[in-house]
Amino acid sequence: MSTIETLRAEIDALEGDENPVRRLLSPPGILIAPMALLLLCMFIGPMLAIVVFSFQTGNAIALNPLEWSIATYQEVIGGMASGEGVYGDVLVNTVAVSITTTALTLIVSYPAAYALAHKITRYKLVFLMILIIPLFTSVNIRVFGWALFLVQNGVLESIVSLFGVQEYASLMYRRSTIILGTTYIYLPFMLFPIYLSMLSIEDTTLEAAKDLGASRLTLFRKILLPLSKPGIIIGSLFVFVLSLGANVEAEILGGGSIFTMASNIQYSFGYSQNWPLGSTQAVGLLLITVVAGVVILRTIDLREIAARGD
Amino acid sequence: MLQATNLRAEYGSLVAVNDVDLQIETGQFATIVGPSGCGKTTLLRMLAGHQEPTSGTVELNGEDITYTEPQNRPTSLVFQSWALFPHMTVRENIEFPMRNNGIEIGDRVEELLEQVRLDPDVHADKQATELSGGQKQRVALARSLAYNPDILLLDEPLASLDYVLRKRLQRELADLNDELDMTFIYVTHSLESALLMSDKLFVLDDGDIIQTGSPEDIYRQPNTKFIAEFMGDANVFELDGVEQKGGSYEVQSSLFAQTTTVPYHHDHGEPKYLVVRYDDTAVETELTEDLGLEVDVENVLVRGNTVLIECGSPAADGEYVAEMPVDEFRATNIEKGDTVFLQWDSAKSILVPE
Repeated sequence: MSTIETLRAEIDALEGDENPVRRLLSPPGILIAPMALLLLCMFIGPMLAIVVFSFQTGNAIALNPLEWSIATYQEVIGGMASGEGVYGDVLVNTVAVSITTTALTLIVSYPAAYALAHKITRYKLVFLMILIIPLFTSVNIRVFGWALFLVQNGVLESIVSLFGVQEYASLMYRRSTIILGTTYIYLPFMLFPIYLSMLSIEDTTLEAAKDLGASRLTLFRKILLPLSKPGIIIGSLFVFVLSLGANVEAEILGGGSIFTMASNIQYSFGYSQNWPLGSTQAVGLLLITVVAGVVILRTIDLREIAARGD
Repeated sequence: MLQATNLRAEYGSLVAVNDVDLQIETGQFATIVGPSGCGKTTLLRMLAGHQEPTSGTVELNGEDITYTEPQNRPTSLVFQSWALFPHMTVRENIEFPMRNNGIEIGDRVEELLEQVRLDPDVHADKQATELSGGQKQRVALARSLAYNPDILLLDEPLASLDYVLRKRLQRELADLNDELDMTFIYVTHSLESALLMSDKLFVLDDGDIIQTGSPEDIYRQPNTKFIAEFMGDANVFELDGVEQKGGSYEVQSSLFAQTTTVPYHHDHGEPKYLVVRYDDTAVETELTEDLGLEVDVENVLVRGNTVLIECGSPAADGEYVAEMPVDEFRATNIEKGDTVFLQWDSAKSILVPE
């Protein structure tokens, strides 16, 4: 074998898939690398830190590798089981807020998404802009706006007093008010996925169903609902998970009398400086989110959606 | 019998269908043919009930169905995009109208699939999205036939298929119309579909029906220059002088030297154009027929067993085409660039008014 041939053989060997560095830097690897790096630093790292901290003792704010404890888990789970402390109420509040918000946003969004995708042509852009523009402003600002509206001596009271209502009980600091807030804030997250799945349903598909003798109920049950299901699922997942983590709404509209897990976690980390307790609750919230996500996503067949793409 | 009277559709100030009358006998294969944007799809949608007419009526066997909702009328529309339900199997698609109309399913799905020449064992339980274009078309057809509509409306369902498949399905549709006692109304811009399948043709242009008749009649005696050109492959010469001679007209044109007499029975006014089909013309180095003009051969295209000879006339600034069998053309030894006579038997001429 000549020298050149030997060299070529060596280069070929290097260029093969066996070279792990080369394989990592091959185009798909390069394309996905920044995202992977970002997720590693910003998501997986902090998550691990939270899990680690939840097994620390007392009011630790620096990691102590020699002392591990499950005391905070005992406190939180024990509290929930026995009904002592706030944890049971907080869990109920959180889940109630999330489920109700998901249901309300779904009920409001579904007909609107259908209308926007298939019925409304004039002013459609205006409707969509009205839904999108609030997303440009901070949640804080919008929720404070709500508070100014609802609070005693606020805008709503001035309005109802014009109609002769004397006794105005403030609508603030109730669970239902928090739900009203989350429903408004997260509405676009339900509407847009459903709207997009409605858009992917051809007008002719709906016309064909009518043409083939489908009643309005059949059209809804057999055609519209199954074809918009992916949007419903994705929207529900968004809204449910976002509501689970809603702390601004709970803090401002709940005003410290109604706690959700997210606001309680913030309280543990901030006011009471109990990082392990906050971490434990964060792990709990994460578990609820993952379980809810799995349950919701299992109701759709992702392969079915992929197959429908063509 | 389906009868539409003064049917009109307006979109704002645009008149898509302009007071159209049409009458289609039960069991007929009727074709509404016209160029894109002529209003044919709007007309079909009004017959199917997917669009309310601005004015006018639609009657089926004497019953007014103008405002009957699509789910309550005995018509079925096969969409251009087929509109199969993507989340259902072939079987579920076909069962859908049967369930809606309370028809017993039994072996009907298999029968229907066989009727549209799909093997039920292979295709019945496939997902609708897994089918090829031709198969989707067949399933859409089976689905529409499933609840025995009185009228099957077809909105260019073959347009997106390849040539061979389209030809075959055209034949099958015509056969199916013969087998079933069902009226077919087919909408197309394609002349070949219109001629091949139909018993009756309606030529639609700009919202108006401009000619009605059998495909052969319309091909032989188009009402207007537009139809003559639309019916395809025709040379059109503007006439300079016309003179009535009994049932014929003596006509002349600066485009060809001779004066000729052509039969013309028409109530649409005096002839303005002389039309001759490509395949009725030939090119020769000498003028041998009684009608012809001098042209330059610009291009020679072989189309299977015939040749299209594209010619330009320096005098008339026009483009004309002759179509000849390959052998005959080869025998003339004419080549691109030659100056020749494009000619035809004057009896093959067709006179048309505006």
